[in-house]
Amino acid sequence: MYRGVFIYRIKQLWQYKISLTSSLPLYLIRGFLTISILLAFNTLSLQNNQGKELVNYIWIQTCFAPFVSAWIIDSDLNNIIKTGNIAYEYLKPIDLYWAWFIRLVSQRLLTGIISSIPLLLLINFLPVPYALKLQLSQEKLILFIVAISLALILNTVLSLLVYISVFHTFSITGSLLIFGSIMEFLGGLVIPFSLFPENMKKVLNLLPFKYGAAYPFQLLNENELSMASLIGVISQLIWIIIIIVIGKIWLESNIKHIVVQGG
Amino acid sequence: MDILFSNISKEYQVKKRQDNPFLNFFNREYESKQALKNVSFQIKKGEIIGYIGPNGAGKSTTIKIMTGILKPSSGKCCILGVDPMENRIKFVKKVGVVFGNRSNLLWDLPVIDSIHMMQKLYDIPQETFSTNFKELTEMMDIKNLLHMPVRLLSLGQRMRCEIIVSLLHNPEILFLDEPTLGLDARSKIAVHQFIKKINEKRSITVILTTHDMNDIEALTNRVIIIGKGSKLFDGQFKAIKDKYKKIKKIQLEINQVEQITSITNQIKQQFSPDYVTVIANEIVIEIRDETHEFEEFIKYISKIKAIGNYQIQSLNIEEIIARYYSELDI
Ligand SMILES: Nc1ncnc2c1ncn2[C@@H]1O[C@H](COP(=O)(O)OP(=O)(O)OP(=O)(O)O)[C@@H](O)[C@H]1O
Ligand SMILES: [Mg+2]
Repeated sequence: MYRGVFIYRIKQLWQYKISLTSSLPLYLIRGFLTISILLAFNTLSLQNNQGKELVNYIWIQTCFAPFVSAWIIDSDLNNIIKTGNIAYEYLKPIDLYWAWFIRLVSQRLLTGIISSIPLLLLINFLPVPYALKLQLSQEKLILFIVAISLALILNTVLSLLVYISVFHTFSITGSLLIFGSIMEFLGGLVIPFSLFPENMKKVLNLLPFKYGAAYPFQLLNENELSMASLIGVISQLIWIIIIIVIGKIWLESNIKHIVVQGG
Repeated sequence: MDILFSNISKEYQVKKRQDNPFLNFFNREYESKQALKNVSFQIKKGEIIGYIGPNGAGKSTTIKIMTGILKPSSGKCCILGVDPMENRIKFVKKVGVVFGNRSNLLWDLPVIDSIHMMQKLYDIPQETFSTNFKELTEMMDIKNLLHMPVRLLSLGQRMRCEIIVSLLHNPEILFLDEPTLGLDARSKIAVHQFIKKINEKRSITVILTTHDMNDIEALTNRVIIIGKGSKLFDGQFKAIKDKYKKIKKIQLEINQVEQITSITNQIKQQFSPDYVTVIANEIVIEIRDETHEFEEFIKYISKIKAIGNYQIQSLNIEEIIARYYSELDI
């Protein structure tokens, strides 16, 4: 049943494949600019490990931006909630929460696969200060794939909370303006996580946002996998469960006094 | 009984809006607005019911309650033996719903994609799906539309597809909320014929709301009228028509326009018409065809030379229902 949601959402988005692929160069430029600015401000020498790690961090963040960004907007879903078309959604024999989850995951996945992840092939071959230089072991790669997938799920369930809030705010951009900015900042997408002061890092470790963004990126920079890296995956799982529970309860309570607009 | 609706009331809670959107978010002050008052009725399997009433009467609200989208404030609603709010997923597989003002199709994909998506969502077995699909598309004559993107369809074409999509899973009840909204005469007839056929073939129960009395005439015997949230009539549509059968509307065309006022005054004095208006060179009069008055009146007008032409009509269906609404004070 949910396969149907997935297939036809992808089919719908596939209509916009040209505009999606044309953002490839934009992501490339964004990566360049961010790195240039950071290098200039930090005056880091390129021999310095921190500098290299920063460059890697930015590239991975750029390539997986559609997985982690708060600003991937499904305006159809926004309209469905806002205009009362949710009546039709509600009349389908599927659980709304999971149907919407599939919608949003498909969008992030497809956008990532055709509009930013292909950059990975290119950025290895850039001139030295800008190139992505990773030392990958098999375990590290596997752990990264697990972590980035979980991050995708975590960010999707977080953004579902934003969509559910549309029942109250009637506008996804309004909701995102507050929540999205907080999420991106605390997740280490605006300023790389390693540049936060130590005290702040400790606080952010206790919040979910880091596990949807900074954590998988940092993983690739670690020399050796430690217990701490594994604990990250566990934190991701715990947060995913907590946020799903919150989202389901919140959606349920909205639906209970769901007032379908118009008619 | 397919549908049991007993003493249903519905109050909407309307948030008192604040200008400041931030305050609005936390605002918990509500006003209540009564949309349905103690409405009860029962509908048998295979019936086609016309559910009518003026704008804002509570028709869509009733449909939403019957389909489990809205929870009634009080009363008991039982559809196909279950409460539509409980066990929603099982319930929605047994009903089909079309809202004339909304779309259930995938906007930027061909119609056929929406149809296949429904097959997946409703888990319709391939065999059932194929026969159903063939039958429905032939009956509704939409074969040539199947590969058009929904956004290119005209309203009438789209509505035909919406109805098809709501029937693929063999529902036992079909709810139609203004399915003929904005359709031209021919599309309306196509929709009427389709609904009739599907009702006969599958003995599917149909609840239809509409403002077009031709829909009602073409499809239903029994109508339920609600106004201001209360049920005011439940019975044969013919009974309402019969009530107004006796009223005749006579249009007089006057050759000598100078005489129009004197003729009008004479008519008013000699007869007791229900209603007289003068538009340009025409006088429109309504008289009850009960006593001899009507015959007298016809004799009278045939004698007057100034009257060039006259036409006698019964009230048409739209006029009848407008009268009846006024009489019910809704
Ligand atoms: N979500 C809502 N919140 C508050 N009031 C509502 C809401 N929906 C409907 N109403 C009110 O309830 C009453 C009944 O509305 P409803 O939509 O059922 O009318 P209707 O009979 O379908 O009218 P129409 O023929 O115009 O479609 C109206 O007065 C309307 O203003
Ligand atoms: Mg309505």
